[in-house]
Amino acid sequence: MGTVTADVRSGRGVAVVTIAAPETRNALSTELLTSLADVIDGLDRDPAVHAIVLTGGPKLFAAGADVKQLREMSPVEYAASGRAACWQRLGAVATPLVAAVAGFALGGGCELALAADLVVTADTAVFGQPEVKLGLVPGAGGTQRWARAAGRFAAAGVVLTGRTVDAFEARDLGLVHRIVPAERLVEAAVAVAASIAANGPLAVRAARSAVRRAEELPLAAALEYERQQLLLMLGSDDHVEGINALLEKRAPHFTGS
Amino acid sequence: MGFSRLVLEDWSSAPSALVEARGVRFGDGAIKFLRRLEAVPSVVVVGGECDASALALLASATLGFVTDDVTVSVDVDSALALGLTSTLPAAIGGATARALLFGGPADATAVRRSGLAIDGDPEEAAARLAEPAAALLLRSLRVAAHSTRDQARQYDDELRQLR
Repeated sequence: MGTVTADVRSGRGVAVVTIAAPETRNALSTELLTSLADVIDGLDRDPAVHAIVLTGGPKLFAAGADVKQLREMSPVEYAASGRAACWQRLGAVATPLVAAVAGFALGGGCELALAADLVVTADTAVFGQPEVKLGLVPGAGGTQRWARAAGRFAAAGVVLTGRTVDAFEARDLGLVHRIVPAERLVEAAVAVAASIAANGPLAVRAARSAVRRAEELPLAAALEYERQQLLLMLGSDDHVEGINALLEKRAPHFTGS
Repeated sequence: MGFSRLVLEDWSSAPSALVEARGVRFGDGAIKFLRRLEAVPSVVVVGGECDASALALLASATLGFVTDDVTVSVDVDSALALGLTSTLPAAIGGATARALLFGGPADATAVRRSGLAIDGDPEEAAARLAEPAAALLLRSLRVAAHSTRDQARQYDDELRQLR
């Protein structure tokens, strides 16, 4: 089945979650997906964790769903498997998520990366939704998140043909924040996550929530949501500390209150 | 010697590759071969009567050499199949690329003048490319070809951590 481990780097406010199922190329079986959702849920509730890096290590992110398991599943069994609930739990995480992708991020692996807030990749990264080649369709957000992130036509080019996209094309499409050498992938992603974690935690969560609303709300409603978040932040201690620190030319000490 | 002489099946973990090719002709597998060649520090030595594949081979190599008897004739089909209209201008500039594509059969002097081939000892060059630092530089060049200056600099900052 493989394992999902969490390494909390408390000094930086960052947790690194590593999927390790090398025998199945990190295929997201129901069991592995459940472990992943459990681990990330736990970190989401940890007040010391302000950003999460999700990785499969320097060689491979996740090569998709466990196709052997899928082959044996009836529609009813799939619906009862809890996979959809796992994806919903992952989508409901409030802590900023940085995907660190090397090698294949295909099918469910690609959907997992697209569920993150930022994607840092090795130059070896390959993204794709090959489900149609198996007579299936993406079922964990692939069609929707590709379209929202890269536009409908770019999404169709990937989802309808099953072709893959390398790290550079993915960056051109707006999916990738930064490309780094594979050997430096996790540390570079941790550095990006730490730069998020160093900011006011309430503000980061509010800003993240507002950015995500861009995918869900009409513009007027999303702008109103953004204004509401600003009003909330104006009532926080963190915003007073942030402005004082700027004026006093020192690093802020945010308390998340 | 720190480099390896490779056959097509023998690419794994070689520090550098020395490819000797005479009478190069376009065929199945050429594109895949060239892509793999781009990813390793490589020296290519081309000789004899070749089609446009010789130019693609030299452009894909880290360092290219030609023997004095080389002649390269460009045919449209293989030039298009190999993507030479994009890779050659990127490698040697648009004007020089056009001179090679439209100038008729190119001899060793013309290929060397274009910059696709250099003078010197290929085996010494391959030994230099077998140094770990050469692999880092090649990675940097490959990424830079697809990146803005700032993106390339960020990548290089991370590469320097590997030294």
